[in-house]
Amino acid sequence: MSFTTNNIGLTNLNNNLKNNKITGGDIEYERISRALNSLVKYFLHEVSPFEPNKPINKETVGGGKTNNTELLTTRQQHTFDYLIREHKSSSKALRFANLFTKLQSQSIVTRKWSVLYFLLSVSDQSNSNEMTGILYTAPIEQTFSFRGLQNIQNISSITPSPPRSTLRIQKEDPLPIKTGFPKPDLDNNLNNKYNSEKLLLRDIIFIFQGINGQYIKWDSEAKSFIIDLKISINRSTVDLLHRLSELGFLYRRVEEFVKMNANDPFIGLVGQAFCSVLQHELTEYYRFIANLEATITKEVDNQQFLTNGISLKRLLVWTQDSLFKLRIMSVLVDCCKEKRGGALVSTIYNYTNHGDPFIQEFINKMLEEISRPFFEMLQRWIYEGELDDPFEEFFVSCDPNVQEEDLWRSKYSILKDMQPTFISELLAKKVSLKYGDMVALESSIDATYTATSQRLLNILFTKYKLKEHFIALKRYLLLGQGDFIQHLMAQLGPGLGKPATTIYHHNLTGILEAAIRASNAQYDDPDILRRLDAGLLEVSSGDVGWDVFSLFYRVDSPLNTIFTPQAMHQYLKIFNLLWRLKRVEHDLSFCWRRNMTSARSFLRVEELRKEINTSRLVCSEMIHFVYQLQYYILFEVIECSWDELVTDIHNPSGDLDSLIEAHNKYLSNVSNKSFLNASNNQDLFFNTKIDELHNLGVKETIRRDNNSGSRKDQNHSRSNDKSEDPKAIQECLNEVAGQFKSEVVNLLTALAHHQDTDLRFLSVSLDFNEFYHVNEKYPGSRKRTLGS
Amino acid sequence: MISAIAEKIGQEFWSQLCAEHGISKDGILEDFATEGGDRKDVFFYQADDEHYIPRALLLDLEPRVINNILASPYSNLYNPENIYLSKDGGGAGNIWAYGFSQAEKVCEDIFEMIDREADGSDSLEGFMLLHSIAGGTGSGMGSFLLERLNDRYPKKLIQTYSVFPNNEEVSDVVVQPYNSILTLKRLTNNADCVIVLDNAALNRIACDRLHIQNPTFTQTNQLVSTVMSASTTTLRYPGYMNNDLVGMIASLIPTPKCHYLMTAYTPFTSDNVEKAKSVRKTTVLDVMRRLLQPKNRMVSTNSSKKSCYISVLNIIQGEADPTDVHKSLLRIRERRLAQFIPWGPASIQVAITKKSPYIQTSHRVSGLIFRKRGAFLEQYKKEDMFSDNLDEFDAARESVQDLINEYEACESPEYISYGVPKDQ
Repeated sequence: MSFTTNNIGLTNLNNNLKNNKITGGDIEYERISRALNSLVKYFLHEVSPFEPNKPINKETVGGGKTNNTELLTTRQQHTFDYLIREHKSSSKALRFANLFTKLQSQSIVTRKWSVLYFLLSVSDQSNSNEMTGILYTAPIEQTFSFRGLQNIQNISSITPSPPRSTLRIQKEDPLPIKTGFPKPDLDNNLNNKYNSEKLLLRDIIFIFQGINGQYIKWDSEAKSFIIDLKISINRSTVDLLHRLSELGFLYRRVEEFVKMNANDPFIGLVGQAFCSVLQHELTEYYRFIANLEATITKEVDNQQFLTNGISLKRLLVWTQDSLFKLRIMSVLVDCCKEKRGGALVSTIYNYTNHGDPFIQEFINKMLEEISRPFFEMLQRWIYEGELDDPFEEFFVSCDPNVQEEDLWRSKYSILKDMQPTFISELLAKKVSLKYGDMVALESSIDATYTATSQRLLNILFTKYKLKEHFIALKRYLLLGQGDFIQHLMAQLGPGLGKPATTIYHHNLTGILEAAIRASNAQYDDPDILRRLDAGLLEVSSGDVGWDVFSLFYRVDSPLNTIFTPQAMHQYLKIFNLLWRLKRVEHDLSFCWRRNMTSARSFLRVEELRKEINTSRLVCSEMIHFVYQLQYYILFEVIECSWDELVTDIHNPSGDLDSLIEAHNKYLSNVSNKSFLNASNNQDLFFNTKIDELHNLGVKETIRRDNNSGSRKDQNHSRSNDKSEDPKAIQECLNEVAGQFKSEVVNLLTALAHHQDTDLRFLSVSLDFNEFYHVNEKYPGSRKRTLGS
Repeated sequence: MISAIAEKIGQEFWSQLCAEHGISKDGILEDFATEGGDRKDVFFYQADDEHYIPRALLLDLEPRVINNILASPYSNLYNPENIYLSKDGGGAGNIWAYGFSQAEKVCEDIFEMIDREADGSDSLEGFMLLHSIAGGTGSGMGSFLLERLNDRYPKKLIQTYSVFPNNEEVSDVVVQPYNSILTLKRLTNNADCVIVLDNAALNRIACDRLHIQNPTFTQTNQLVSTVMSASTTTLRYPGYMNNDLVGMIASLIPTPKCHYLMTAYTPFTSDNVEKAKSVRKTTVLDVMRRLLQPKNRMVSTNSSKKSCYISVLNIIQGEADPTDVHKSLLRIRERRLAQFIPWGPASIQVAITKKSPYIQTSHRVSGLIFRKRGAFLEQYKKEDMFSDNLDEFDAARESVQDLINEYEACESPEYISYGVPKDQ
């Protein structure tokens, strides 16, 4: 009997059922149910000849006793459910159910049992010609008696189905009975059936435990169970065995994994937890199998096997739960083979979104156990700061080779792979508890994190005086302590004009000390002053002291977490710019002072008045420029950025990371807006140029003054020697002035179109009375005036 | 401090400084004044017994005011060696020449004191001279000192706070104009920076701003001392910029002759007057705007259309936000509230300084403005009519005329070529 013919037969049957319009008398539920059951039995025939037998027998018995319509209906319903479950994909069962309901609801049809019986007979007829004889001869009651259907099946010669995936049938020989079981002295046919089922049951119990049975054996090459078919079993049995053996197959895989990894140190704590959970589940499974076995043995011994014992079919139902569990476990085992720690947890976590509530619950339960070591680690990490991770499976990894100054930055790093997906990155970054309480976990981590951060900052601010260091850097490297810088400049000035190679560190430190003592810096914290050092940058040939002089501020651990070498380098860059500006200012002041004091002596030098006046005006122009530039950098840039930094520091929710970030922002702000950014190379270049120009201008003016001074003497002595010297100086001065002016105009145009509003403002303040714009409009007139 | 008026102002000034620096009347540092970030050693030095002593000399030809000071609670503050009183005690009798010659006589004594103080300073930058130019002592003795200081300390700056007489009212001292013009010559030629304080303007401010009908000298002196202390805040509270005298005035004075500075201050308050206590909310823009108004100026000027600022320095005390300053500057520029010279770059410079932490003030921001302006000497033109046969007067007149010319030239774009002798 092939599957297709069966199918056609069934369709015929249904058609018959549909078209039949038989009217009957009283509704005999019991009879209907019997007929129905036999129909079902027939239907299930191809699946298993034994399995439906038991419940249906039971039902018939029960049905006979209670004679309750409702009960009957429920049972029928149950049968259908079972049918549907078995043939999820096939429409046959559904169709059958559908038709039966129709029949049921048809009130016109009274003799439903008769109808069904008739149909059954017809269908049997269509299936097997041999059977018809028996059917016709046998009384109806016999047919529907115990194992009635078996009789039918026995008569029919069933050809075994071709081998399937996990279950193969090697021989088509009938099963020889050679076990040590007592051979019941019964009818031969019946005996065979009985014994084969019994033997298979025993075998399948072994298979459940991954042990080779008598007839079913594990083929390690094909990685599947093979049925040693010296026994003659029909195809449905083979199918059933195949289904059941899946359990064994899965079991083998899970157990293999557990055995392999349980004592492997590589798997780590989380992996071990995983193994132990699997083991636990397997133990449960063992218990279940043991129960089964006990039942089977008992029933076989007590000969109750036939009445309400265990059949393969029933076994299939009973093992459904275990099957599902084993399936999940097997899947998990598959996908977790190479994973460890947090990654393992995440992988399993992904399965919690499974649609089946049963599986979801199961996974959740497992995850709780598996993630326990992980959360313990997390807890220790958060609350005690210990990275207790012998197998490197936590998502924070520690690099023991990290230098002390990089401690905060790179000692611990987050491993993305190891980070469980249920811990958000932010949370992970901040890094107890149980899985399943993520909200509580998050808030608790947040709280701990805030507390820890606060404490850390507190320590930094109190013990290590972080704020004081910030202020000190601003004061000394960003020239906030004006009087100190003034003194330093005044003291260093003469010395720094010499070539850099002739300047010695000890001289500088001496001057530094003097400047500290002479200024208000002396009241500062000695610890801060100790860190302050004067030194020279790398000397290249031709450098004078001015080029390489720099102030240094030494920071040590743990402050260098914030004041990283990069940050300090930026400070140095800013300092150098400011220092250069200061130097220009200093030189210009010197020049101005000279102008002022010499003015008294020049009162009588009438013929040089114009020249002197011009030089003074150029000087004042430069002074104006430098002052505005300084004002801009010092107040607009540094002070504003500083304000932001202070706000960030006092931000109650701040932590060390945000502090470092704020500090970096502060520095980059300052340097960006002070033209130190690489993109502003032009400006920087300009600055250095201006610097040179200033110096040139200063020198020229000084020279000029000296000359004028000498001229004064000459005038006094009535010497009429008007050499070309003043003229040359005048030209030189004009050239410098013109150059300066054009550079300023260039800068102003560049600034006016800059995207940064602050820089635009600088152009405004540099040219407050629109003096240079006038120049722009009439560039010629200005130059002419100058040149005249 | 020379002359009676100067001593009164000076006393106010020093008491204000003491208050700001937390120094008691005896010169002892108060307990609370340990952390201020201020530099006490600019205007004070410490004696052996930790007393802070003002770097100040008190000079007068008559003993009245100095005796008052010595009787006041501040008597222990000053170094007794630094107080010079003329031996005959007759005063200068409002005559410039008398003060000048008196000073010449006691020159040795005075310069001994000056030298001593100068030697006691680590880095002497310059001198501050506080005097009135109306009376005999302030003008005569002050002129003498200016000349001599120039000779003795040619590289040092001399800044003067000169109280100019009230030109609107007829003074009881008829020789005032003479005294003034003679002193002006020295101020022009020998000083580096003159901060002009005009009695008339001071009276006006006291009336208008403080609502005092008849201001007493104490009250006007308070105004002056406020300005003085405010103008020195950048020196006393070191910040990024303007930490020395040169740094402060270098940007203000482009050419040596134009070194007369006007001041304005707002908001004025006086503890003595109830009405003046209530001050509106002050913002940076308010302060900066008000500083540009003539009514807050401490000099009476008749400004013409051509009048312009050579440069402006705003000293803003208190917690001023640089961004506010920024905005205010833009606003002032937009509205053209200040007219600047046409011949060179000029702008409102701003110095933001700390306030003394020891003095409670009702206003958040206060500002001081320095500027130089042309045409403020116009008033003296009429006095130039007095031309004697005396060479000295001629010379004085000439130099003052020069000064006026130069300031007038400042108003035109041709200032750049100023100084070309006419015959060339």
